[in-house]
Amino acid sequence: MIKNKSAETRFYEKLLKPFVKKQSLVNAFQEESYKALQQTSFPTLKDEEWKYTDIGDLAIQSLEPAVKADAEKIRPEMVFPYRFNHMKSHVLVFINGYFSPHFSHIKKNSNSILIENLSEALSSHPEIVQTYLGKIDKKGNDFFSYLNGAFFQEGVVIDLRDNVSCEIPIHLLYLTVGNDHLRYASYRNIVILGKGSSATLVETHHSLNNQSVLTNTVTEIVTSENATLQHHILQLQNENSYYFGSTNVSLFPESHYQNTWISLGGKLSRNDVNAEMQGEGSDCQLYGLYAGHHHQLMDSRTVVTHNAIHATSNQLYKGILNDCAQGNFNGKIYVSRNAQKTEAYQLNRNLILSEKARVNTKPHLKIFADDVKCSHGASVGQLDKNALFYLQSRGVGKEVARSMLTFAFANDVIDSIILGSVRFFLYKRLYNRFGREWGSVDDFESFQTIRKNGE
Amino acid sequence: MLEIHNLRVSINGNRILKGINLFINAGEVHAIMGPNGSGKSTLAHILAGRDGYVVEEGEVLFNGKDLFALSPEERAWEGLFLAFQYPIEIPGVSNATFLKTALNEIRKHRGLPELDAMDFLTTVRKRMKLVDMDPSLLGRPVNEGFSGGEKKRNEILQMAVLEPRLAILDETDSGLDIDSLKTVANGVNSLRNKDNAILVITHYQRLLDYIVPDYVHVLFDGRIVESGDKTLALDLERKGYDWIKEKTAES
Repeated sequence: MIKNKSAETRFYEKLLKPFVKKQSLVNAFQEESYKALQQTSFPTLKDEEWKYTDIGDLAIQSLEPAVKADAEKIRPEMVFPYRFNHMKSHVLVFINGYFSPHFSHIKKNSNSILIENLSEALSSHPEIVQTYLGKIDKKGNDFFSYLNGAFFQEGVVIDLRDNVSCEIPIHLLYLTVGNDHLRYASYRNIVILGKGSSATLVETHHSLNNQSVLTNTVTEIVTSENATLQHHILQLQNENSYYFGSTNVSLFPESHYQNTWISLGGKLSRNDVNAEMQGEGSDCQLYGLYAGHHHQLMDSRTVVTHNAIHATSNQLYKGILNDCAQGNFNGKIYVSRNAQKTEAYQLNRNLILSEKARVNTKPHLKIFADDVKCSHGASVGQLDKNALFYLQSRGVGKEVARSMLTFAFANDVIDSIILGSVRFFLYKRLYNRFGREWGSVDDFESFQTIRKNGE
Repeated sequence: MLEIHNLRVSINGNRILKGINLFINAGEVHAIMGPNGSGKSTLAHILAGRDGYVVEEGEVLFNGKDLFALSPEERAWEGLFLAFQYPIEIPGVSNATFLKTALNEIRKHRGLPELDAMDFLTTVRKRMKLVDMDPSLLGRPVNEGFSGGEKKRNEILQMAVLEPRLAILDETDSGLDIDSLKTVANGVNSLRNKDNAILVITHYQRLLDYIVPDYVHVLFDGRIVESGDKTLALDLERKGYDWIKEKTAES
């Protein structure tokens, strides 16, 4: 492949200016990442991992470092609508790559729970960062992973000691404010759950205006023996935004990790989830919903690697594509030779609502062990005509019926979100996305309760 | 209430209905019987507005309005209801959400205020007793995992909640054991009044022991070849459909 060095350099060279030296351990990692970045070309359609995701219009632009002044202009009432106000939680607010202590609220914790923004944690607990930074994200040779490694600004460090449970959810609220330049907002998160500990982590991405910002996130997670992490990520940015995020998890014996990825926003979003089943009996559940319209491009990628016996994994990703939107799913399961008694499943289902919407789905399964239960599947379809007619014959108007069925398609992924407040927040967004309302959110909640209680 | 004039319908170029005439007044119960493939279900579906059929001739008036000018939902708003022979499963939509949405759409078009969740639940629970339906089915996705009997009860529950002017029951007896059949029939009977009408489509006479018709019509090869009162159904039960076939062949 012919390298166009100048285009890549032009893309990130302005980020070099404020490249302030942090502590030496971070500095070494950043320098190493920067070196690797210099050796790496933009991903193109010729790369297997980027076959359907064209970043051509992004590659001719030039990233600008985010400036603190942008974040300082933000007033509390602008942040308020994006908080889950009925949910007690630790909230960490980030604006354009900067931590906003005055909008954040971390409730007092015992010494056994650490929740801090990265800059803070670097001075208070450098050993944690030193131990884990770059150790779980092993994707390698990925342009946006190196970009993050070289230029990450902020993030969060969460560390739970053995046998503690974080009683209330941790909410990471990322806000972007764009202007005439393409600002770069980047985060590096480290989440370490000690043996037998548990936590719920919610990440939400929003835009405060309609301008373009590029968000680049890498999260590294360790779930130690018997630990449980529920992790929800909602990408609800404006339709001019770029998003490149990756979540990397290492699962130790009998630990549980659940990830729900919801993508409604962005002009181009790419989300990677990499789970390494390192411990016997570990369990990983991955859910995803990408609902695109207009010209949005949404790319979801999963890699689940089974390296231990008796581990289970399950993936359910659903796409709903309208107008000229494009959805990509690229999911892999690797079962190594010694990972006997693995159970690994993967399903990608897509609903196409218009003539011009497109889906590329690539489920992938590689098995080297001989005593396993694995399956994968993919489907692309339209709304069920019989179901539409049934609803209409009961007096439900065609548009409402379409909206109901679209919602119904997404429901099992939404239900994987265990926090009622987050689901509630999402319902309202989805009503807007899937057409006119056909019932108030209140009804939805009360009917959900009926369903759960089996009344 | 319903007037069918010389209705000729084809599907994929095959003529299925070959000139149907049928008149149903408020307060009446009509039964259409006939052998398999005679066009019974086609008639039910085309009245409810399913697409894929070509109306080649004739017209249908419902409350004086041209039925074929109305969309399926508009027909429901006018008071037409079809109880499906094979009710559709809709994963992800709860029965409660489905019924409440349907009821409120219909109420809106009748100029009635919409019901909130609480009022709706009160109404629907009352109606569920009528068809002896397990209340937990309200919270489950529409028809998903329902037994054959539960699906048919669910159809009659919808009829009870939506209160149509004309209910068409398409082979509602198929797949029902005798106890369920009685329950479903009792439910239908309790909804009968002088302002509504019922069209029962069935292969067997069995259901008509419980939902007693005022008129019985025999549909054969796309035409109504015989009409009479409830004794016609008993004749058919005794003699079978061959008798009709022979009679048609002679004429």
